Amino acid sequence: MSELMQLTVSGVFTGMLYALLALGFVVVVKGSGVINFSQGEVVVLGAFVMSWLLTDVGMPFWLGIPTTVVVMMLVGAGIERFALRPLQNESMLALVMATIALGSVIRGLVPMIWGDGLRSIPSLIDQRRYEWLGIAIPTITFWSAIMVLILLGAFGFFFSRSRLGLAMQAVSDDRVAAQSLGINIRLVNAVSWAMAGGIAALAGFVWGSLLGVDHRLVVLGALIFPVVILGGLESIVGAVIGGIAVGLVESLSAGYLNDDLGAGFSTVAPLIMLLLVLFVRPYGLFGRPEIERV
Amino acid sequence: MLKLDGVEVVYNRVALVLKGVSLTVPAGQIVTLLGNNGAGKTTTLRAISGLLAHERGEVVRGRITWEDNSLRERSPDYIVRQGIVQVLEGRRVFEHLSVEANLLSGGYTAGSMRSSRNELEMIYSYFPRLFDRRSQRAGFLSGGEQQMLAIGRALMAHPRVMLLDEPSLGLAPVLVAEIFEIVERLNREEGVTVVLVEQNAEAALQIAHHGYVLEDGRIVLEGPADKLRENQDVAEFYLGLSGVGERKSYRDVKTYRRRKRWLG
Ligand SMILES: Nc1ncnc2c1ncn2[C@@H]1O[C@H](COP(=O)(O)OP(=O)(O)O)[C@@H](O)[C@H]1O
Ligand SMILES: [Mg+2]
Repeated sequence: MSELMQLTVSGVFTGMLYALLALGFVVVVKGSGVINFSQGEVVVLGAFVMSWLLTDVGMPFWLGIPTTVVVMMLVGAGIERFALRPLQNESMLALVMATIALGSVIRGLVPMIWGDGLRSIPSLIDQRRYEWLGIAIPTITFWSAIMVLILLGAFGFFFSRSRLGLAMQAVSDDRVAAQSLGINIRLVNAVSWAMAGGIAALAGFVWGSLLGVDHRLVVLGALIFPVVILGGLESIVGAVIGGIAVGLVESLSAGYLNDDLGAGFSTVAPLIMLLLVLFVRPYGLFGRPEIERV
Repeated sequence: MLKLDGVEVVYNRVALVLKGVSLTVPAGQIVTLLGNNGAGKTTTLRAISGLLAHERGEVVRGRITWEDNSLRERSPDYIVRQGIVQVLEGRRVFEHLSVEANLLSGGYTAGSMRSSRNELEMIYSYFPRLFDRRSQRAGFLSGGEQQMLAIGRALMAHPRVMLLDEPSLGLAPVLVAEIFEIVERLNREEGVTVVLVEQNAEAALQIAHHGYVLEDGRIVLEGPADKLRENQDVAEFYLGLSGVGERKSYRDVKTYRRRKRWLG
């Protein structure tokens, strides 16, 4: 029983960190309608920039973290400007292919710049565990999850209450109609990619702190898809639900199934779940079917 | 005054769809643009609003001016900021957003969220049904309500000219009457100039001051609305009033020649 509790709580907290990965993806879908297969690589880039600024350059946290966020926002905006805008009137397939190519480019670029050794991110908080009723949570996971919650709240507020946020939702709903109202599609696209870059910087910080910084972080990118297929491609709340579901599946299968099925099973369990979900509900568990008028 | 002068539009760099359209829309008037499916009505509106690029279309010749200011090669957001807003064919409301969020997004160019909120009341006074449904998802509205929302949303942008593309499409006659009456009030009370694209010529000519008939990318007829309404040939051949309903295809073919003669 206490093992179940432990696995559940770990799963929920780790799930919040998956939600952070997915948030960058969701923001791009919301703002520009593009299915971005490179968000995992952008997170890796964020982790490397973060690690480089905090260790090699030696910036203190208060400077290094915001600087990385700004750098990655510029990277995101640059991707939109130079890789996607030239394709803006092309098919979705062309755009998706462009993001896949982009992912490969980043994957190749990172070891060219920083080598392929394992790097680290200095710990912002001392690496302990919080214990409560026999359930333990690493401090870093705990505080990261809190940060994710605050971030999600901020984004939710931005999308529903601000003029630009509303414009972004309008663009994702119907680009032509949004344009007919004078909403500047280019601006909205650029902003959404910049946001995804900034989020990737934070995700890189969190995941780099947990796992160390090297090219293997890209496997996290694959976990974005079960999260967003479960939660809906453009729902922020959905990203949290999907993230937690993936965290739970992973944690519970690590606890109960890995002994029988092999140590790697928990890693693929979320992807198996993804397939199962797609069989049952092709538009995702919480994703929206197109509304039929009643 | 909105003026088109010899406008030619090409899609995909090859298909010439508008073949020299000239028309004048005096400020404060309702001008209707009539014509059958595929005549080029929507294309004409897109040429004005700058929404052609998205469709791989391009104005290759001619002038488009609003108050002597050229609109050619301008971006849609520039044109909206000049006060010219197109209400798209098929309503195109933001289905997943609430009615109120749809309206607020229409105010994007007009000012802050706060100032847009203050204007909701004016919109609801023209469209009381939207007030009743303000927190519902727009995708769940009926066709008539969606058309009202599309017009209300465009109003939030403070248009001086509204380009309405077939607002009557697929609506019951009662609703068409209701919506056209509101359009007329907007013109009269708010001074909004209206370009009304319609296939429902009967309804359109009742509220319009002036009308143009477009056929195969050319203006083939124009005149004051009451003159057009009285015109026997127009009534029969362009406006489909003959049998009130579907035209007979045989007659269509036969009268095509007469129409050409009459025009020539
Ligand atoms: N995006 C497009 N690409 C290519 N051809 C188009 C496009 N839109 C319209 N057309 C063509 O242009 C002609 C005029 O279309 P349109 O302006 O939509 O007519 P209407 O609104 O009067 O029905 C039609 O022959 C149509 O097939
Ligand atoms: Mg049309």
